[in-house]
Amino acid sequence: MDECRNYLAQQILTEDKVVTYRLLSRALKIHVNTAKEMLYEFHKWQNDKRPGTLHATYLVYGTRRKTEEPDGDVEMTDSQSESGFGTSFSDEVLIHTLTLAKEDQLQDVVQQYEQVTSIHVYSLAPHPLKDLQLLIDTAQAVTKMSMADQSPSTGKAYGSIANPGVRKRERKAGVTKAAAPATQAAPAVKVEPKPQVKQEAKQPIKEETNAVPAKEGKAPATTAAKKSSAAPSLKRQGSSGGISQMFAKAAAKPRAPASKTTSTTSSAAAEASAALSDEGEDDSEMPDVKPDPEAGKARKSRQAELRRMMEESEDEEPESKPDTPVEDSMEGEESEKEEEQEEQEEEPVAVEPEPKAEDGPAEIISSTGDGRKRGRRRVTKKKQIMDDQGYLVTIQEQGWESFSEDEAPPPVKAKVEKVEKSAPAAKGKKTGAKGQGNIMSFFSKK
Amino acid sequence: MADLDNVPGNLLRKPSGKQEDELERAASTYKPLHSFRLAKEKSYQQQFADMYFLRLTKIRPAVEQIASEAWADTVIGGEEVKQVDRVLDIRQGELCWVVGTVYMEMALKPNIMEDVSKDRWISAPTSTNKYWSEEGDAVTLEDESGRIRLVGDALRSVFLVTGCIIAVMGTENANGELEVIDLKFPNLPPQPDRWAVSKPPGANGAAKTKTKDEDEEMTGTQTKGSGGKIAIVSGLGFSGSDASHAIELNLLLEYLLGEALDPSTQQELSQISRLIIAGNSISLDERKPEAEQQTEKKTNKKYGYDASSYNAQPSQLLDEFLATLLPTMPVTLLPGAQDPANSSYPQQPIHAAMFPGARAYTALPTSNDVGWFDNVTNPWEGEVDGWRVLGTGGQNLDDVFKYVDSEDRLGMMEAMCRWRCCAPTAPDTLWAYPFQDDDPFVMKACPHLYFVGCQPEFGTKVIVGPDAQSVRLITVPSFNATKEIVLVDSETLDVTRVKIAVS
Repeated sequence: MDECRNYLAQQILTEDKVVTYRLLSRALKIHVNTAKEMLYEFHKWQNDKRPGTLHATYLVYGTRRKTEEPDGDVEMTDSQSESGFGTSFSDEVLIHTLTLAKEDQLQDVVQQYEQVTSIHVYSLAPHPLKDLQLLIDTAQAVTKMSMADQSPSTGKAYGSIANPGVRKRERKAGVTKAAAPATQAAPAVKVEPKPQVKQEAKQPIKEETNAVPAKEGKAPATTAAKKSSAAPSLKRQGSSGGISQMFAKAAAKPRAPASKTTSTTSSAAAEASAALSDEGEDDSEMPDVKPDPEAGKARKSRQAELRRMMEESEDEEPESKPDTPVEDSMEGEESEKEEEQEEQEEEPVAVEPEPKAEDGPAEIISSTGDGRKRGRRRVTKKKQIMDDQGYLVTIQEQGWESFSEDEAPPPVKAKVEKVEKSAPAAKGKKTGAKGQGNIMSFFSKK
Repeated sequence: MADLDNVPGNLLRKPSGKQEDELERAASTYKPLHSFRLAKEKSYQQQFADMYFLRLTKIRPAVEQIASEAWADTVIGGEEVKQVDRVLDIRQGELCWVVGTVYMEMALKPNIMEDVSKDRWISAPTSTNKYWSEEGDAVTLEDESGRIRLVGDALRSVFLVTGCIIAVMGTENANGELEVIDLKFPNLPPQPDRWAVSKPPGANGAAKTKTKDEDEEMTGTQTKGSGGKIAIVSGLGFSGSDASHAIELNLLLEYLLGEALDPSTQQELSQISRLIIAGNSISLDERKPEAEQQTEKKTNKKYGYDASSYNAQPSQLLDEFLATLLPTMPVTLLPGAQDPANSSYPQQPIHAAMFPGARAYTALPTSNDVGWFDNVTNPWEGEVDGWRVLGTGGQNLDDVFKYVDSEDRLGMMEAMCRWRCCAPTAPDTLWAYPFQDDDPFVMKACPHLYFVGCQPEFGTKVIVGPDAQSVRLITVPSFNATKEIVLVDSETLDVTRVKIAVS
């Protein structure tokens, strides 16, 4: 009780604040109903001592008298239309009214009620509130307080109605954690490979728990980032690590060869992944897929284009100009390296499934030697023939086609095509921006 | 006249120090039906004509049955009424009846053909309150074969809008118009039983509610309804700049949380088992004026959009509201015209990313679970406490409202039920997705409760169908204008209103 009086005296009289029953209940960790009574008690006690020092608002609940409905109120317009067309069709229903009233208007408000079922002090303030909307500040303070501690038990203590059926799922804090491992991974790199290799030695096949390859994949990526340059990477590590980590994860998942190609960069990782490769079954296919410089370029140009698009503001802003080229070049260099590595990591994974789908089972390798693979594979061809009535008929035919791994695998080809496509597009953008380039030109005034 | 001395729940007293009861909220049985959910990958290449065709094919049998029952062997002026299959088959002077889709020719109605012919590719938003005007409006009936103009006094006594399916009986006059003598609507679709798709909570509860139900129906008495309540609110209108009803929103929150008022009222409040928010949770008004000033400043724009002009506060406030309420009460959220969802019907759920605080209560997008906080479509269909519920954010009714010379929104809701179509004016004047395989706006099952949000005022009534279907209609007023919410008894579907006032 004293605690409550002290609190209220301090908050209201000293600090000139408005206290609602909810705020009091949160501050003192008491039930809201007790808080309501305490507010009343304090109000009475204080005003008995010194009348007029405290001003209360009350919350009144019940049913209003019907005749009072279209009372000269702010709701005048609504009430008027209510008595018009619409309600003549509508059923009459019971209206409960919850009114927040100032102390001096309480009597008037209560007069309007036919029956008051509930009344309590809502807030206390050291001065009369001009606008009750000001109470929202206090309400927001309460919201912040209750947001801060969100254990279900607290709501119960304050008198919120508990719901046993509530279902809340625990969210993995994906965003915050994603950044963290990137920086953590760096020290982990050095430690990680060794036990890894040992483990490999013991159980060469299928010893991978899911977590291990994931880290494994990260390792080369972060070393790569570290290698590029020490000083700027400090800042950038977070972000670049994040990107490469994305690729790394993808690479780490399916099988080892992905990381094998990267292994040239770091010896530790090389060992580890060399051992890893036991697990992947189709070694023979992979080594030939050389990190395709073309594809790397394609990605780079695409990325550059994307970056340009992102940075393309309305006009060239003066502030962005000085720093973008510098960063660009730095980033360019760095990202080049990174990309190439990412490329190596990512590329095989991206490439691999496709040829498999096409020619996996229906491929006969006749000879593999000097890093080349020759054989025949099944392909589906379209054929157009004229039938006996003179109509052109298109049929799909399966046939065999000989190949040597000399020719780039189909998906890589597609990538090369993309380079050729995207390069002119990028050029065309500068020169012929009128034509199609910026979507904003469509909306701008002509 | 109220007297402060004998208020039952008077907390104007010294702290009694007695232990407060811990209240537990009534459980809500809830099963949403995904009738209006669109595929994630959707094409907009299709024509809209298919929707009309589908609607006509789906509703035609029902109308034909009613019409043929009503008009079988009807003889007028010595001539027997015959059915013709197509609008084009109507012969001049012959007494006949035909089923078709109504199309309203209205001078003030926006017309896509006009837009196209004038080379306007972006339709201007319509500003008129009504498409209806004294003259220049014509009611026509059409099907795949053709279109015929309807005339006659019979048309004036009923609501007609584009897209509703009706059967008309009459003769074609010398002007090539059909003089309508009588017309028939498909009337209410068959109504599923209570608990058709969901199970009553617990075997015990089931038995209890069942018997009580039957009792009520047998005796026909209006019991008070001991069951829970479903709260429906619309137009919360959270706003970043306009705080004129902020305290009312906060009082609403305290009311729903059960923190306000006295223990016995709190006991009542604990019976509110679910909150349904029917559209317009976020206010639009402050998004407009800033646009002009911003063009002056060259700020850092990406894709031509200045991110700094975005005010996240309204959605943050809504999120706070929901996050505070959700621990104690499940919430169903329908988008409305002003909410950040697609604008064409059916509106798809507001993305959970808008609710960083409340999204923990949503179901995983990949799972089939029902979220405690359920972001749903508008219109939305579901079963709440066993009752089939159909609800919308209000655009469908607002658009029908523009077609007719009346203010009777409940009457229009009734008409929609009798047309068996909850958005007849889509896709003509109510923008809609071009459905190809199914017209989801056709009511397959008659709801027990049909509510429409964001309406100017409250209204409710019960309509009854030919097969003893009974539908509780409610127009839910916008909270930011009226400060009202609607409570529906989950046993009797009786309605009460709660008004929040600040004096």
